[in-house]
Amino acid sequence: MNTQGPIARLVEELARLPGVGPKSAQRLAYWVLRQDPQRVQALASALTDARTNVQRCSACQDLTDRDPCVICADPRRDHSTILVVEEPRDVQAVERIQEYRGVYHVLGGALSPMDGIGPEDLRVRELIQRLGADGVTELILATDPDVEGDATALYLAKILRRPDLKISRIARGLPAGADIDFADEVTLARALEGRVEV
Amino acid sequence: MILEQLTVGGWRNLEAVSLEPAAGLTVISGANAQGKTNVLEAMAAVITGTSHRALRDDELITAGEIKARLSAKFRRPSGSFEQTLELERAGRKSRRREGKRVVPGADPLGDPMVVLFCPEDLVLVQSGPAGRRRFLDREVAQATVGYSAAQRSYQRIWTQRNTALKRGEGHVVDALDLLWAQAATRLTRLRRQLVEALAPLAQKAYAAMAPFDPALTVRLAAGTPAEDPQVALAALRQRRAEEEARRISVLGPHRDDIQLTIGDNELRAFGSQGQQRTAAVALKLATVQLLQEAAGVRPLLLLDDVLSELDGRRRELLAQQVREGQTVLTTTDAEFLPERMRADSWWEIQSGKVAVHGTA
Ligand SMILES: [Zn+2]
Repeated sequence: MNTQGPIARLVEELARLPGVGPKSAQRLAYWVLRQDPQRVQALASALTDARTNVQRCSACQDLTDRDPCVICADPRRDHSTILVVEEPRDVQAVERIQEYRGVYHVLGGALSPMDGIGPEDLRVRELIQRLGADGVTELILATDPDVEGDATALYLAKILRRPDLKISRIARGLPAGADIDFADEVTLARALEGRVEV
Repeated sequence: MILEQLTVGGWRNLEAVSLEPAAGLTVISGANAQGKTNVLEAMAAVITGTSHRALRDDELITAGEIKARLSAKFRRPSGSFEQTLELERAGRKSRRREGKRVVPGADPLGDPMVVLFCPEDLVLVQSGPAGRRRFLDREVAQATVGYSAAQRSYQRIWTQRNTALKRGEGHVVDALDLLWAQAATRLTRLRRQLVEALAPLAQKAYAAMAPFDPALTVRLAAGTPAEDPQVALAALRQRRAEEEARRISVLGPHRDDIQLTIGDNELRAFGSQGQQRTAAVALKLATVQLLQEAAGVRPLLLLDDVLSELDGRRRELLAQQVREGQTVLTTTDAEFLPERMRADSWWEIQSGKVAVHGTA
């Protein structure tokens, strides 16, 4: 294959996508080249549109095309209860169950010192601000049930503790298809029994 | 459980080959550096998922190959199954049983088990505590379902906590303390129970080899001050200032050791070399027995060139074990085999090529 010119550039860009290696990038590039120009135009504008118009909700930090997001703007939802999750996809997962009526806060990850992720790398400050202003009475920590998610929940419980705020921890149901190590889950469940005072 | 067949491809210096060990004793002979140990390493690795001596997985892949693949066929009373280990140079690793990812302890019909005894194990008693913790983690722990998950979980919390200490993130360390207390006490309890089960078996094996010595006692010297999470947590918090100064965790199972004494004497410091070696053999034999009691079947026993290192009584006791289940042993010289260790299958290895010389 020519190593410069438009095809090479396309392969180079596609290979940056997560989970796409050079071989698949090449296959995708040839797929693009076989399509109608309109089809490719639609794909290109979908990419730019999404990137330009999707931003973070100034309240919950979830991804949205309007600010505040649909959930934060909905008066029928209970704004006194905040469910704290790691990623935007966690909001989607909880919404699908259609049982939770409160609002969310998306941290954008979990504490992981060995990956260089400390509190300042998460949207913790924004959460503190919301707690100061919004008349929030309940906080549900629903970070992932792994070492990093547990550490994040325990950290938040500690720094956010105050008498008029109920803080609880739930280990959210695991997403379908995830690689589950059952033995580990048992270990962690023990850690979350609350035997150690938060 | 019997290892019926091992197919090796791209492993160290070994030529691709399919081997069928005997249900009893298989002897592999060959000069030094021909690949005898590599065969035993492959047998152990397909069971445990890691090599007992490689620092990095890519050392295991033959030069010029991009991946190594081991495939083993095991037979157990309920039927037979295939278990594979694949390593790629890029770092990908996959362990599968009948095509599905291996989750230790998840198979209700049991996992294959292995005990490997090599010359380096003879210094198990006089060397540092890390070797004895590895012995516990890799071999003795096969008796406990859920151990490896508990060990990995502690390891991760410990690494995160150490990094948080180095980064000076006090509140994050506080949060990890709570996870530490759960994980550290759980792992301590599992290890103590294992050592307590091992101790009488090791004492008996030692007495059989050294009948005139005082009794051997074996106990866990725990690096965690208590098995109650709250008490361990309080102890940990008392040491915080010291930890912050040294920027490292000072308590926990990563400081555990197995303490061995003969009468009042700590073996590591005061035992003779002969006593230390005898205790090492006793620990290995006790492990074989413990696993057999725990699972109802004897683990695969791999003896790497240890017979030449042992004298009469110790060799005899090992020979007795060999008669009781499936064993593969390597030797440079058939002369080291005691009279009653008759091989059921005999392989010879030269420059990584295994030749089967005969089966009884
Ligand atoms: Zn929002």
